[in-house]
Amino acid sequence: MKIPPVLFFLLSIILLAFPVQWLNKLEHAVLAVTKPLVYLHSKTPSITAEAEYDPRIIESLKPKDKIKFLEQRILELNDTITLLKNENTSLINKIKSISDFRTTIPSALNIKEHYDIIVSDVVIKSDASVWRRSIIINKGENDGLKSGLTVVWGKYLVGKISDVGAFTSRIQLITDPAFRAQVLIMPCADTRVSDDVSRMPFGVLAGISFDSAIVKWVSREYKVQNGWEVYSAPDPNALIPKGLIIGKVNNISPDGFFYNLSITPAIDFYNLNDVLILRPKIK
Amino acid sequence: MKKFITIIGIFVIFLEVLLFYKLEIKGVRPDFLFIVIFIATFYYPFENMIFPIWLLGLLKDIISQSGLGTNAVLYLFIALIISLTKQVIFKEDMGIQLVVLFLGAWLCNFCNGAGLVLFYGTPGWGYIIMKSFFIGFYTTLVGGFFLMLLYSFISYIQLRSGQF
Repeated sequence: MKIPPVLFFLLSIILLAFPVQWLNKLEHAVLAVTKPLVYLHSKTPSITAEAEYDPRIIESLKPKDKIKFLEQRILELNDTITLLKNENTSLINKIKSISDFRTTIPSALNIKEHYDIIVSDVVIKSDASVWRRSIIINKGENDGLKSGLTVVWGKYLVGKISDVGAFTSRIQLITDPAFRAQVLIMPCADTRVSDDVSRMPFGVLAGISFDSAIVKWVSREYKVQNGWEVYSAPDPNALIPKGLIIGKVNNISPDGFFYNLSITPAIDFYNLNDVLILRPKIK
Repeated sequence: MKKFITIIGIFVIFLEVLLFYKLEIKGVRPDFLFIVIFIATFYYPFENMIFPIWLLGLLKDIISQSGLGTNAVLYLFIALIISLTKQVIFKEDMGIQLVVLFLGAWLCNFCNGAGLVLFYGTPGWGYIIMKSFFIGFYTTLVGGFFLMLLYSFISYIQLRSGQF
């Protein structure tokens, strides 16, 4: 039986018109197939070689077999060392990320009081569409995540959670065209964001589906220059803490009473292996 | 053949998210799924390929952040245009195939980008025209390579079976 193509066109258009919330369940069901990748991604060293090894075995072997056995044993131990080194590097990076995040946030904001920090590994580092920018992590609804939570790496803003499945979640990066956040622009690279930010220029960050973003609606009464740093602004609605580094201004173009700033992000998203998710505590 | 194209397409989608992002140059990477759909539409009757193409487009929408149905309708629309014009144009000419591949990839990506500008206001019309042009160009380069491989393979098979 031949199905007329018009039927598929109509079905696609109907799907496009459907509310996103209704279709999320379907997306999450398909994202569940990434679960095996989560297991593959975990680099826990195998301890089977340790468990199977019995020192008495070596005594019963002939000298020729003994050498072969010991060579095999050295290879196994080398593999274990490599795995442990990888795990150690990964753990050091995670600790550094948490430590950087805690030192960056203004002292007035007590992190323990406001946020639970959830550490997660990146499973898929790219979006299938060249026009969107997202990554997939190995934590989901079962780990207490929900849409809209802020994602950081150390003192850098990475993005926010856009979709949550049972075991995986999608993070919308700051370079995605749909990402919006209030930001402030500061001249000094080394100063921490003070509590008084009222005299700093504000703007709205928007991604442009490339490894850069733009900041719109920056008032021209401030003399912004190339090289100024862009930080997240205090925004109680967006759940984003202030003072997270976003990037540097690399181009300024006037647009009426405002500036449009081109931003180079401070981190390379393709090299991210783990991220921190900030879950606000319910009071 | 339907199942074969569907399996190849699913494999390509997973490779796109796991591996092919490393081929990205300044935010531009080839549209591998479009190459698969192009070859399928060019060499097989469109009527047989409707469901696989729609399914692969939908799967790409699910895996990416695109609106559900966007790529499904775009791929189907461009496949329909290719199937209607392939009787008119000289389809054995590889130059024409590459031109059709470029125009198809450009149009598909331009429509994808246009959707973003209409919904979110970024990244701007000039940017999406340029970016979709370069995606089309990159896709044509990679697609041309695959077409040459395909032709070489077909020639080899014909040579072995004694058709020459």
